[in-house]
Amino acid sequence: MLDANLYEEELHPTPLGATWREFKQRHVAVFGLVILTVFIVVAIAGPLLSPYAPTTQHTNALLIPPAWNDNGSILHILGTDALGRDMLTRLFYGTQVTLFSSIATVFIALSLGVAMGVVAGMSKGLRSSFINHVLDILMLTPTLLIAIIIVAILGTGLTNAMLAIGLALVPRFVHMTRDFVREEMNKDYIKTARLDGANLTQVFLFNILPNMVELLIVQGTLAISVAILDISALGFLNLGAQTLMPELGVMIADGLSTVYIAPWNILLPGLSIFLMVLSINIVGDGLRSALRNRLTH
Amino acid sequence: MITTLIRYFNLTFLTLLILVMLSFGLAYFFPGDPLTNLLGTDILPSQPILMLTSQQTNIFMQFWYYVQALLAGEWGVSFATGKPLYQDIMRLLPATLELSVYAVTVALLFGIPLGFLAGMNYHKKIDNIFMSSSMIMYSFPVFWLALLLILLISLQAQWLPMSGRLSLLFNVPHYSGFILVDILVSDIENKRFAFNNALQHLILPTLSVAFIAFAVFLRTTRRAVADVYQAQYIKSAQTRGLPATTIFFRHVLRNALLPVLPILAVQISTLVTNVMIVETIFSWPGIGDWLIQAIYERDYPAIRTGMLLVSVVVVIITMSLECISQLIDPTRDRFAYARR
Amino acid sequence: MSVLLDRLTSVYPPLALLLSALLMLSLGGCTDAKIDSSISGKAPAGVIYCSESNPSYFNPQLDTSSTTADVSAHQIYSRLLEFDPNTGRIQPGLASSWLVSDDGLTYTFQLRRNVKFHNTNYFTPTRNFNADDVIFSFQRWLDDAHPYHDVNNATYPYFSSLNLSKTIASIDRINGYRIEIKLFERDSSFLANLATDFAVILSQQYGEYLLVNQQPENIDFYPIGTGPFRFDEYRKNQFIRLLPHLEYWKDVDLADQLIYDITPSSSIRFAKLRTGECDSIAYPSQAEITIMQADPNIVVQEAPGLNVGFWAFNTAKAPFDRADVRRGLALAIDKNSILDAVYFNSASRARSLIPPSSWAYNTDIKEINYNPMRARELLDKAGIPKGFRMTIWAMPVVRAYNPDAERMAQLIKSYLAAVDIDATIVTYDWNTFRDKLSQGEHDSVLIGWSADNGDPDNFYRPLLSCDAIPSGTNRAMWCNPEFDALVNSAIKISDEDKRAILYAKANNMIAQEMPLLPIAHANRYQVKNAALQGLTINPYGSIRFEGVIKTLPEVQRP
Repeated sequence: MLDANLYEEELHPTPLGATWREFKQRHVAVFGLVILTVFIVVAIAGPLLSPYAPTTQHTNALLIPPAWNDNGSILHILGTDALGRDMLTRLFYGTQVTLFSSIATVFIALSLGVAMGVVAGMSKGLRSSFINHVLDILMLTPTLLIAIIIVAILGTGLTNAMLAIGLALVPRFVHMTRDFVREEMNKDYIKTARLDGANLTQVFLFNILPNMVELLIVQGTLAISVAILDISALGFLNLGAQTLMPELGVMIADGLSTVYIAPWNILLPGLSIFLMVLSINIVGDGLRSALRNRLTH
Repeated sequence: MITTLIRYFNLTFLTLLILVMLSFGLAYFFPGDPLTNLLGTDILPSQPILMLTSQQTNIFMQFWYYVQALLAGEWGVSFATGKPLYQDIMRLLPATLELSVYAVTVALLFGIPLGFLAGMNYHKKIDNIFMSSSMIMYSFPVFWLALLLILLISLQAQWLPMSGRLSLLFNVPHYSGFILVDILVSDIENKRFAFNNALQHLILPTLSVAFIAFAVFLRTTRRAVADVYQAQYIKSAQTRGLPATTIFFRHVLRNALLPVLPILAVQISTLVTNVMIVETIFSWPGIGDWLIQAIYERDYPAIRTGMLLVSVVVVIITMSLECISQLIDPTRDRFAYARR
Repeated sequence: MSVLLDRLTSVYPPLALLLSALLMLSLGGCTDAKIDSSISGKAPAGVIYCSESNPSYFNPQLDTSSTTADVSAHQIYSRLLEFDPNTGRIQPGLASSWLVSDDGLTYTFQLRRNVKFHNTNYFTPTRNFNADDVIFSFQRWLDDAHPYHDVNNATYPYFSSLNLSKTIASIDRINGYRIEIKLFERDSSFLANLATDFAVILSQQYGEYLLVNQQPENIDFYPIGTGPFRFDEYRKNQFIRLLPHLEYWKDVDLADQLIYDITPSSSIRFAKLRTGECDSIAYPSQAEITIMQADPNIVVQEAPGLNVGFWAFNTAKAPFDRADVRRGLALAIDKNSILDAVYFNSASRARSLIPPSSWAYNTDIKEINYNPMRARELLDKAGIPKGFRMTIWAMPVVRAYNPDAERMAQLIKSYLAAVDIDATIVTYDWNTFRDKLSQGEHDSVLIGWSADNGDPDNFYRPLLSCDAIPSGTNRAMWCNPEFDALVNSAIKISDEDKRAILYAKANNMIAQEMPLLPIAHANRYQVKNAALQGLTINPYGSIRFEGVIKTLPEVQRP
């Protein structure tokens, strides 16, 4: 083998690359990633693909069962609801609303939590016990309770539900970041950087953050699954997104009134939430194991 | 040990104080008049409340009277029913606690042994089966799961009832609020029948909540067991030729169970959320169902008091669990809460 | 195999199998714990009714909502007079007999003796029902100075809508068991009003007891009456428990307890009916009626309702002020297809304002039949051009008399298009809609009416008299002195046969003038467990549980 590579170090993949390699070897995780990708594609492109609007009422096609049923219609592949709205279209839009609002919630909570955690972790002098207690209370208080209070003050709506869930998520990101930063700050490479004259901002940006990215991805992914469950639960309880919005939890609540005649109206949206959460959990879990394996090997 | 106790007592006290302050503040954040939101009525029943409403008191004194009123059980009056909240909550809280306790018990009872089984067969077939099924289980939206249970078990198979704690035909006097206890201490004629009926009502809500908690406990235990088995001291025990049972009972069991308690503490708030959702679906007359009804009716005194009470209970339980696990395992060198 | 599993497995065979397998697994050994819907001899007996909402009071005088009336009107209280649920005729209640003077202005009621009030843990009556209780109950809403008039901010909506306090001149006690009511003018619907849900008799002794204890507001929340059941316990959003009044004045079977299980969602009420957790439910959804009919354990009762859904023309607006135009438009509509599509055949075709169950109904009405050719001819004659534009207002809410006004409007629009009339459908939110209707902004409107009592006058005067235009119930804005004279003379006569003749004349006048086109009388449904005996549909008001018992089938317990 003449062209064998003699320089071994060139084979060293980047940390992310190594994680991906580990991840790839888990078939279940890859399968989860495929499903998740399908959901994301559907959420982005679904509304463009479907021939109807989510609110169009086909009054001559009420409660049509899915197409493979004897009474089904090919015009409505997954059937229609009590107002004659096309199920597939609504699932597309519902996935979009639920998934994207969850991602947005987690993204904002994550940014806020990381910022607070970094400040708390890097500044030794900061002993704001009060903030700590408030964070603990936020973490201890059941999400639903936070949501009830927010709704009582600000009224119902998807944004308020997102606010409540975001509030409940922030403390865990703060704790996570603070612990991580504190641990890293004691390591030699940070001390080296500090001795080189880097200020705290530079240390964070160039030394700590790159090491944190993977942790953030794993935790963020898992938080998205929690956010999806919570947002749909609030929608179901009529505390979050309101009836007109095709949010998956709201769709289940709407379907309750016809559950006997049209069970698909609660089975399909529920199944979508379930699969979405499951695929995210599989991917998150796969990432976490991949990360652990990479670090231990 | 005393330091730990004092530390946790302090922590709990401070947290509770902040909670009371928050609940007091809520009355000002809610729409409408703060005093009405605090009291829920214009009728002034007692001394601290009388002081609370007088014009001269500043906000700090108001808070002080508010704390006094809370301690005296004067929690205000519900907008919706016009009845004192204290009575309502004292009747509802046991129902919620009952459901939570049974659900946790079921989840622990199944989760821990199966977690051990999986952890001892780390990365073998049985472990993989447990891991994938528990992953599936905790991906279930709890409200959808509850609806599916109702559809299949109650409506389709007609095995179990779908709502309430007990058939309304039984008139069991209120004693402790825990329905099974109440039935046992009551002197109604058909006690055994009522007890069975209450058990039947319990099964589905308990299962819905326990389903998800079970998956979490299973995974935690399994992780802990697997970690313990990979630890050096177990390896050395094995190389010394100790029998597997001795290793298990002497070394693995205790060390693997240690992480379960803190996880239970962390899970409490998720568990309470799930219990509250399940209550609304099964018309379980607990505090969750009541609070969600209160929000539909914009019953601000009820929301404020209910929120305060539920979080107080959660905080106390969580802190006690944290404290106990700290006492059992003092090597846990850090406090999970309010770290500096 | 029940419907649901059939559907589940037909729609999602793998899913259903998977789920049931999973659930069986997690249930483990609990599978033989069957619900005893057929309760064994040891369990307490009683009737559970799943109601839809919380009552506002336990006194129907204060509230016209049926939720309030369903709990209290026929369970806790009795009235002087009652409607026969089958014929709608007035029967003796707490008044064993009554006399009407020749001028129709003085009513004398002989009261029943030995009628006991409820004995509860909050009040023990020491005397039987007598004239004082009647005067107390009536004066409460009649007399502004009555100590209970303003208790609980009562407005007495039913009585004020009929202006009854202006009709009644005086109520006098003649002796302990005889009272006399004097009216200002004749009103043949007066007796019917006394038999409605709202004219209940309270206990005067209880009223005084509460005044002494300074808790007058309790009168509407801890009720004392003479009805078949007494109040035991109420938990908001959960249940109401009533116990039988063992000294009830009528000799009927009573359930051991009567429980209202408050269940706001109609699908959950239905589910509870199926699992046997309810014996009967309020407001079954139309869509689920067929499933209920297929279930052998559930009995669906259907009865014609005392209501009418109609299409009213705004007779104050040209060209709808002309009878031939209105007749032409009415001829263009096929009522039968509307009955199919909008009422799913759960209604009967309306020939006149009053439904066939009323005693004043007569069959020989000259009814207009669907005839688009003749319709166009009439319209041509009246000078209505092809392509004429008009509006159809469709009410935005669901009512028994019209479950889907929007859809009905669409059907009518298509029929009108067939005779070259271009109709536009208009709708607003319910309050705006009614405001604009009262101002007469509509060309035509789809709306209807539900009766409160069995008297036919309840249809005629509120819907079509000149006085009803300002009060906002005459949607046709139709004022015909001849018609008014007819219905006004009808209420001054007490003989039903003679009144029926006058109402027949009125019907013909409506058919001729066509201020509105009656479309349908929607049926009322009641669903119940097959084991529940004695529950009938009460077309005249709220549900009645006297005489309703649950027969326990023989149970073979292993």
